[in-house]
Amino acid sequence: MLNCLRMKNISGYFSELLLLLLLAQPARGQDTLRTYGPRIGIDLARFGYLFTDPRQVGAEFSLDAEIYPDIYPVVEAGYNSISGGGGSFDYASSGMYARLGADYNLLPAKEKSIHHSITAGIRYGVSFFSHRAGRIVIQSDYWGDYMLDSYSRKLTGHWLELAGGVKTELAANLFLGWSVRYKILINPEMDPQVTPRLVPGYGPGTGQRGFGFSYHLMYKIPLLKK
Amino acid sequence: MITLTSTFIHINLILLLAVAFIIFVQAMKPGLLTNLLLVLLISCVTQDICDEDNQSELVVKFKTGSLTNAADTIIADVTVYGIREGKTDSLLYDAASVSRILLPLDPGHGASHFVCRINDQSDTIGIGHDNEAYLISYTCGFAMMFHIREIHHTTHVISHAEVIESQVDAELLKDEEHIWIFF
Repeated sequence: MLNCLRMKNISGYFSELLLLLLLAQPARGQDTLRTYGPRIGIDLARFGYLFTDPRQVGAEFSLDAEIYPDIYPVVEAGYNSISGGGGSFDYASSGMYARLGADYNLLPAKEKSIHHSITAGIRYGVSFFSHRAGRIVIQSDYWGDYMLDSYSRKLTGHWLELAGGVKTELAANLFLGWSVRYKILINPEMDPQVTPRLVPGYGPGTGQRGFGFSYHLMYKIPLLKK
Repeated sequence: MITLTSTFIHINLILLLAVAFIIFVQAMKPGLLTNLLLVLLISCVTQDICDEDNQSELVVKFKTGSLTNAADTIIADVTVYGIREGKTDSLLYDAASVSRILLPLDPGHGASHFVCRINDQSDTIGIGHDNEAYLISYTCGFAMMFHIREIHHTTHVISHAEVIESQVDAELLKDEEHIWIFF
């Protein structure tokens, strides 16, 4: 009982202190209500595979935070797979990927009381995945077709991305936005025998340059008020 | 400031509505219209016709002289066939006048044997090779890369043979020559 009372007191003091701190802030329009904290998000564009390419499955999450004015370090992680990608043979590729990087907010300072952003950023991407091919037939009209054993490899892909996008705060701490990416594959020769049909997180391994599109739904955990 | 803000929201909402519309149409009418649109879209993007060669052939050039002093030659009445186990002989060349022949190599074995008959005299040619499959493209599938290890032959008409280029892949270049056979 005593403990309870003391607890109540402490929390009462704490909230009072917080209120005082908030009031002590100089009035700067809407900026006084600005919150800071990590932002978690999902990429809604990954569900687009259901309609554009049903052979693919994908999911992607992101985490970012404005640790320094206008600079948002970002971690994006996800899973991506394809099955049945080969024309005349069985093919599957699947694995996890992560991207590390940062976004820079280009929006002029006077607009920042509202938390919309236009960002330009860079990413380094890495993908740990495996791919396999089966029912491989080497055609020979003269000697007769020859069927090979199934083939599989564990691979690691590396790439860089340039990202640009827009994010809007639809409701308090809830963001919706999109970004486009230009991707540069660092190691296209990761498997010289069978170029992967899909490098998870990057796209088709047959192209050394690629484009990407993400549609972000994000929630900012308001840990700090300023 | 207000116009800039509302522009953001508009751009975002339009994109969101577009996605929602596609989901809605898919959910309501999974049949005709969207499938047709998807087929159109996919057929515009992907090309499913393979226009590349996927069978590797060895290019043999006929020569006279020696390796350091070689000259092209046309040989008349050349008949060539492969020695295929359990299969009837099928002629690759039938009494042809040629300076160059293309020989398919056996993807299922480490050696291919051919009989070359010129003016009723026959020579047997044996080519030893290592086989390595590689992917041409996802529409064309796999082909075999042959690495030529050795070449043996009888010497009734042929004097000797030299390996010029040991790698044989499915892509046949214009001036590609793998083996020279001297007469």
